[in-house]
Amino acid sequence: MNLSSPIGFLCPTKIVSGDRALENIPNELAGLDARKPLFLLSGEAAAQGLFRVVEKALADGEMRYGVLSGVPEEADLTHVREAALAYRDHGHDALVAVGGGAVADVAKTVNIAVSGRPEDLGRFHETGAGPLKPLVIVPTLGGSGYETTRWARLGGRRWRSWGLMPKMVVVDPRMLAGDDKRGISAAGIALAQAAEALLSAPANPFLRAYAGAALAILSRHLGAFVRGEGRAKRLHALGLVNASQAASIAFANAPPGVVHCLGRVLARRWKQDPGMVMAFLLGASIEEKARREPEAFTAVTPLSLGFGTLPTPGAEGFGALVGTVKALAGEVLSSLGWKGQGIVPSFDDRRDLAREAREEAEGGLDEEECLKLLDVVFPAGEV
Amino acid sequence: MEYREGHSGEKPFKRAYVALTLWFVGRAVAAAAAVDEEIAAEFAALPEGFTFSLGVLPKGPHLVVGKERNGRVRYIGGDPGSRRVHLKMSIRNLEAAMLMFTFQESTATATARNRLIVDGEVAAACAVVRVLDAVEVYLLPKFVASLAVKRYPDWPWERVVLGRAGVYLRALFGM
Repeated sequence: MNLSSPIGFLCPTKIVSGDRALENIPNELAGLDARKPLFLLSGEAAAQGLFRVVEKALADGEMRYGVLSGVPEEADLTHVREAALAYRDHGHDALVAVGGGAVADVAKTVNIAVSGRPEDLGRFHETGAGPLKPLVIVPTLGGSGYETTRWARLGGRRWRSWGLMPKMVVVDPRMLAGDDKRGISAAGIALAQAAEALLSAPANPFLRAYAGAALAILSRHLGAFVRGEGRAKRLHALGLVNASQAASIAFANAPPGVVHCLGRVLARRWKQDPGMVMAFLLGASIEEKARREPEAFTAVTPLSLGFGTLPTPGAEGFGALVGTVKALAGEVLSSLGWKGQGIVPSFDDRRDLAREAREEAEGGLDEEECLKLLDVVFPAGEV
Repeated sequence: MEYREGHSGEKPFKRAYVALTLWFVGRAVAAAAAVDEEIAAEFAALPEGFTFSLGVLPKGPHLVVGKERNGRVRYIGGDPGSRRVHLKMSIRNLEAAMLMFTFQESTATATARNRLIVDGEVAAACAVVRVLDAVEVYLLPKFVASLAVKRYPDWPWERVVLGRAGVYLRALFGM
C-alpha cells in the first residue's frame, strides 16, 4: 500500500445501531449540548405510526421536544420555511429527521436556515459555511441514498457542504418495518455507491474500509432479507440500512460515479426505481470496467478489504469483487421485478443523457464516460 | 405539516425495579466484601476512601459504595453527597439497565454494545466489575448468574453456599 499519494477522508457521523438504539437519543443529544430537538417526520413514517415507537423510546430521557409531522415526498422551500419557523419560535436546538429521502433533505436545509441566517440558503456551498446545529437521522426502510452524505436536494435545488452530514445516525430495527421493495431499492443504490467509491480511489484505505464494509454487509444480508421472514428479516433489514450508511459515507468522500448519476437520470426518464436502474447499469458494466481498468481492481482483493472471503466460491482477486457485485445486482434486479431492456422506452439521444448525468454530478463527471457506459450497457444502440 | 410539543414520559415500574436492584446490589457488595476473601482483597488493593457509583443516565437511580478509612466497605446509598466519586459507571439509559438487570445481557456484552460509560481509572473499573460479577454469583442461582457473568466461576460448593448465606443475611439485615 503506497500511502505517499495524497488522500483525504472525512466522516463526522456517529452511527448508533442495534437493538434499542433509539433509547440513546436523549443521552447522545445531551452530549451534543442539545436539550430540545425538533423531530421531522415524513408523511409515510407518520402514517405508519413510527413516532409512537420513538416516543416510547424517549421515555425517561428527561427531554422536551417538538414534532413536525407530514413532511411530503415533494417538499420544497415552503416546507423548509415552515419548519424553520417552528424551530425558532419554539426554541429548539437540534434536528432529528425520522425517515429517508425528502425528510432528511428538509432537515438539512432547515439546518442551514436556522444555524445562520435564512438567506444562507441562497449561498450555502462547500466553503464558508459555519458550524450547523446537531442533526440526527433515524432511517426507515428505503431512502434516497443522500441522507448520510454532504448533499441536500429539494425541488430542483442542491446544497453541498461537509457540514450537512448528520452528527449521528440511529438505526433501530423497530423503525425498519414497511415495504420490502423500498429496502431493496436502497440496497441497489448503496451497492452502486460502494462499488463506484471503491473503484474510484482504491489507494485510499479509509474509503476502501467503508465501501468494502458496505459490500460485505450487503453480501451477507441482501439475499437473506429478500428470503427472510419475521424477526430474522428485521435483523437483515438492519444490515441493509447499515450498509447504506457505510456506502453513503464512502460516496460522500468519492468523486461522483457514472453509474450513480446516469442511473438517477435514467430512472427519472423511465419512471423506474433508481436502485433498480443503478443495479442494472452496474451489473452490466462492471465486467467491462474490470477489463478496461484492471489497475483499479488489483488493489481491491477481498483480503485487502479486510473481510476474508466474499461469497464467490473459488474466485480470487478482482474476479471475486466482480462476481460479488454482479450477484448482488442480480439479486436487486430479480427482487424488484426487472424485466430486462424490453420494458424500457427507446431513446436516441445519448448525448442528452450524458449531459444530464454531468449536471446531476454538478459538473464533476466526464460526458465521454457516460457515453462509454451507455455503449457498454446498450451495445445495439437501441434500448 | 402539523406541529406539536411533547415531553419524554416516565417508566415508573422499570425505574422502581432498577432502583430496588441497585439498592440490593449495593448492600450486597458491602456484605460480600466482609464475607469473601477474594472480594476483600480486591477492595484492599484500592486506595483508602475509594468510592464508586453505578447508575443509569440521565437521572438515576444510582448506587454508591465506598471504602472507609478502616478498610471497611460501606454502601452509601443512592447519592454520594459530599464524597468524591473516584469511579463513575453509568448505564446509558433505563432500557439498557433493564437488559442488564433482567440478565438478558451480561456486563461484558453490555460493555461490548457500548451501553456502559466508565469515568475513572480502568484498573479500578476492572476490579469493580470483578467484584460485581462475584456478587452476582452469590446473589443469583447458577442458571441465572451464568447469563449475567461472562464465565461462571469454578468455586467449591461450600464457598457458594456459605458465602451466599452470609451475603444475603448481611445485605438484608445490614449486618
